[in-house]
Amino acid sequence: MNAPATPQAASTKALECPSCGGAFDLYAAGYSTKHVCQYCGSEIDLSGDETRLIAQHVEAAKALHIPLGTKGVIDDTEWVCVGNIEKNDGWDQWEEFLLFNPYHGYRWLVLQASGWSVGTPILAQPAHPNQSAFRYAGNRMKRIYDPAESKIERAIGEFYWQVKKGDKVKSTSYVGGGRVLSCEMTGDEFNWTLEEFIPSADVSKAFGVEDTGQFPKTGYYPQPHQPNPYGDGFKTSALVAGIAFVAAILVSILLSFEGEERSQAFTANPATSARSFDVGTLTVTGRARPFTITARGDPGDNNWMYLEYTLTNTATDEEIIASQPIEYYYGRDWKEDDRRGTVKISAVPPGTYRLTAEVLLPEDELPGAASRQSSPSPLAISGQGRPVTVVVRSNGTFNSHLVLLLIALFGPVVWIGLRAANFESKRQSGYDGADDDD
Amino acid sequence: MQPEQNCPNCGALIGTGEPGLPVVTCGFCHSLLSKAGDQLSKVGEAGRVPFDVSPIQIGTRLSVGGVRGEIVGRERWAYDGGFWNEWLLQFPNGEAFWVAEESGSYMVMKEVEATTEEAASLERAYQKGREAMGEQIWIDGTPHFLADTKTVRCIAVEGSLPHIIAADQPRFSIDLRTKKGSVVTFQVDRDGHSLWRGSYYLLADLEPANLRRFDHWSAPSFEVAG
Repeated sequence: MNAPATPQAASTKALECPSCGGAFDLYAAGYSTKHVCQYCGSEIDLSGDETRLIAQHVEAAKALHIPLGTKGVIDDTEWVCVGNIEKNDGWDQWEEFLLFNPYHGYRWLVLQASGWSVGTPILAQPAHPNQSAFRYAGNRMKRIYDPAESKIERAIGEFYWQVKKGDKVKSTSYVGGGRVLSCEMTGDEFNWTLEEFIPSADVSKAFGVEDTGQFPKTGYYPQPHQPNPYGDGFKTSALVAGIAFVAAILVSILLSFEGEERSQAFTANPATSARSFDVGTLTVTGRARPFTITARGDPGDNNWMYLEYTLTNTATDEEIIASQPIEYYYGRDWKEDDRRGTVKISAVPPGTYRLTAEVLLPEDELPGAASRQSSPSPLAISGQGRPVTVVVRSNGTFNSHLVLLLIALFGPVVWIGLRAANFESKRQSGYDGADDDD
Repeated sequence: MQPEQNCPNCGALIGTGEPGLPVVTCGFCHSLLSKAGDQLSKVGEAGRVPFDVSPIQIGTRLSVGGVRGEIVGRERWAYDGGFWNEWLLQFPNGEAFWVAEESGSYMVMKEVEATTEEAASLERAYQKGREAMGEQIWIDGTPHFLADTKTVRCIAVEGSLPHIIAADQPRFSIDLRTKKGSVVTFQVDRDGHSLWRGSYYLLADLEPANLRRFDHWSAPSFEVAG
């Protein structure tokens, strides 16, 4: 694309501190108007034709976490660290590293107690900084830090404005959509910066410097734009649990179509002694299966009957016993209708089974009751047959199992959700007006 | 094609200059030269543009609104404690924009007419000076926030230019911005006042070609071929 002989301009200008003689490279020549010597702290004005000493200092050099002149790649773009500012607002102290690339301009790399963020100066005025909330790029930006003054405790390196130690800057911040918008109100300018979270490990890797760590390892609360580490986990686990639960319901519905079914109708007559009947024979193959035995009977008004089931393995004569009351009572303004009932047997091992049912009637417990006229009501239909139908199925779904599954699946979701909420509440405890809620 | 000409001051070859632009500078002796027909005459000093790492140079091509133009000249402006470049972007149809470059952002500006009301509001803001910071002024039916006020001076020029700028003449400048990043600059100097409308761009947005090359920096991926 380019001619091979494209002339290359120098990208730095070698200068020396007029105070201590320390050599430094100017990286953003033509943009930088001020240089603070990293060796002696003396201030040099670059805005004129010649470098000019503004203020002479003799301060011990401080080792910066990212030394001036260090290059690093963030988001595929190479940057050189040209300046460092330390600020204090009375609550917190933090550092801002100024990054430069002649083709891309400036970025800020901000180091706070809880971790790092990358700030991009934005050209628009998204709002007036006296607004408490506004919309920006599709997100509602809500003020988190009221306008407050911070003091520049230290400035080292080159800057595109006349920064100096002791300068006071008023600023306010908003958060929305996982990003922070900060506005600095310096005398006659509103400068907005869009800040995005960057993991401390990424900064370490990009500039080849030590990993400072980030919340919860450092700091008291997460940064406004630090992704909630449980937020995604909460969404994912809720989705997984939801899908698993729906699948479990579908499987149990499908299973209910499997297996055999036998049914038998019988009429128990108090006048006769016939009480037992065969419901049918079922064969269980493969794995153990749940059995469901449903009975529907008519004990008569304000009366009861009682079913005793015996499920007998025809090969071993092993028996499983179950029972089922059938009742129907009512008064003037109440009713207890248990004329239908279901018994479940959780796991019947493979084999062939015969189910027999025995019907017990009130008359069986009260010998000669048929002749006792003193309590006519329950016996009003004495002498009449009491019909009952028993249906047995070699399958069945257990709602209690689904409930257990629900707890097993959603327990972790609730736990992660609580962690996520805890992270958010810690985050918001760092905001101004943390008690406000809207 | 105009013939190449020599500097009437030092004799250095000037080149053909830009048709339609009456002012050109000598890159050798930094004389400011005025063109009258085929005649070049020295009208002042152009000043020396200090070393910088601007990625733009005379010959860089940029697109604005889908139209491609070429950078033919530059003015270097300074204010108390700062400075910036204004690059003249010339289009094939003779139209031109000024591209103001400051701390890595590019404001492309064109002169517009202010209504009487707008001019009055801006005059009031100019009279108030820094007190007017943050005020909202309606221009062209849109609210603009007063973002910057300063006194500026032109310190050096190079290339071809549309006018002669008197050195060290103070000019008062007010920048107003909309929420969407549109910018209006109101300027007052001894020649009267003018209103400039511009928009901020990133260099990538201008689809640049023939950018300046630097040692130790690789060319940006957004640079185009033509």
